[in-house]
Amino acid sequence: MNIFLIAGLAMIYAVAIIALKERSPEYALVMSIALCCIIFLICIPWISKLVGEIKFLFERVNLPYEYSDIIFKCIGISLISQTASDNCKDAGQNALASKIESAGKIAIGIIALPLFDKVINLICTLFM
Amino acid sequence: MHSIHVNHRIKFYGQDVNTFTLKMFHVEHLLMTFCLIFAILIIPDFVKAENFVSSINLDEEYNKQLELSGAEKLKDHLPPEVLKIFENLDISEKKPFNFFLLSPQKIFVLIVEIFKEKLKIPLKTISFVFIILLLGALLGCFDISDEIEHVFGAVSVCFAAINIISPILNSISQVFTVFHCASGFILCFAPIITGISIVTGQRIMAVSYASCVIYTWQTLFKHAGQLLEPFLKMIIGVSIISSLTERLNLSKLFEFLLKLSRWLLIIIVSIFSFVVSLQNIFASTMQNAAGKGVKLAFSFLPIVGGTLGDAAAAVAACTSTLKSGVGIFGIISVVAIFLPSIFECFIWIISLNFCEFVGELFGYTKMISIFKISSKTLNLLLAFLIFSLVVFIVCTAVLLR
Repeated sequence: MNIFLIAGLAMIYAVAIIALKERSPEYALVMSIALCCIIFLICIPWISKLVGEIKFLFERVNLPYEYSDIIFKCIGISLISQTASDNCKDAGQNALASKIESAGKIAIGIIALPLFDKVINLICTLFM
Repeated sequence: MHSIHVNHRIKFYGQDVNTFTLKMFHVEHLLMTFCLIFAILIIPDFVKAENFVSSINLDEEYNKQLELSGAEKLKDHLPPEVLKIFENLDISEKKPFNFFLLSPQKIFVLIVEIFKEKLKIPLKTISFVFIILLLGALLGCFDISDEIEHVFGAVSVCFAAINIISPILNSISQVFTVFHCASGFILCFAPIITGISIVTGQRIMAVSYASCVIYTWQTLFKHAGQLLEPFLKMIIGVSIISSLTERLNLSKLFEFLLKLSRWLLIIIVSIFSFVVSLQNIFASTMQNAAGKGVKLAFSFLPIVGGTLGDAAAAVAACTSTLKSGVGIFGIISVVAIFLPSIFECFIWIISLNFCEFVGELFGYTKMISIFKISSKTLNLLLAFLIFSLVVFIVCTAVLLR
């Protein structure tokens, strides 16, 4: 993973965005969002490699797949909603940012419903 | 024979009549002695003591007594795992003393095998915990906001609850199944050893042993199933719920309850030891007095009194051998029943403590409370198992003395 590329890119863009912000704040915001997407795209191969390794670890210890998929989806939703929320905060839209975070939490809750269901069944068997 | 005239002054062969009669009496005695010796030398069959002794097979006699006492059927109440261990070590109710001939290497190999078998699931759990903590640490690297991290934390706790708590609950249920097995064996063993002890002459000790062990185990078994198991499972269940939300923090309450239960066990063990010691002192004093009384009674019998006393002591010694054999078999069986469960609890406690350490290392506090409470719960279960085992061993060892 070429961290120098990403760091260099981010620093150059940061300087450019500061220069552009005074003249055209909306283009500065668009550039910021674009850079975030570019960095994400650069990181995707390595993220998928990491996820593959962790899935392999799950296989090694014979853990069920469905729960590992839930965890990875939750991580993905957290990252996406955090990125969107940060960009909104950069644009000065705090209310929008908090709504995006709330949407992320609801999405995580819905994805994890099977887990909650299983835990509630487990607790019910303990008390019976 | 010449006729003998009764004459106060008659002479016979130049001797007085009275002298002659005395001489004839001596001749008759001599003749009878020679006839007796001759008869003894002629008769070919006479009893030799060493033939009689050598015709007795001690092992057969022991097995016969074992069968009559009902101790032969004890192995029917042992679980298959224990029977397999005994088969490997060549121990049975007919050969209980083989235990003392075992080499330390054989015992060590057996212990290692039990450890390896019980280690699989806790190791799997530790590796799972590592993965979850890794994922949590990964998420932490992305500088996620506290609220999203909080929700993700709740999801990971649910994940941990399903994959870690389920095996622990299975282990707890299995421990109580083992306890049920041990109770069944002990409730069969206690009357048999009591009967043998009564025959040995330890009437008072036997009765106190039977009442102590049967009552204790019936109470333990009843309350273990109805109180302890639901109590432990309830604590684990509520610990999961309190880990999911920060507003409901019941960890201090659980720690208090578990500490209280442990102190209760310590008090019960102390009272029990006190009662058993008093019973032992009283019973052994009474039995010594009774034994000496019997010997004194036998000693009043002329000629055979001493022999009868020695014979009674020999019978008591023989039945003592049977009592020791059956008692040792009982103790070894109960230890073999409990040992795998004790190892399992011990391994789980170490694993959960290790997971707690790793969780603190990664700074992932959500799951640490589950590990802590589960570890303390298993601590209490282990204490209960060891307490039950010690009660039985102490009572039986006192009886076998």
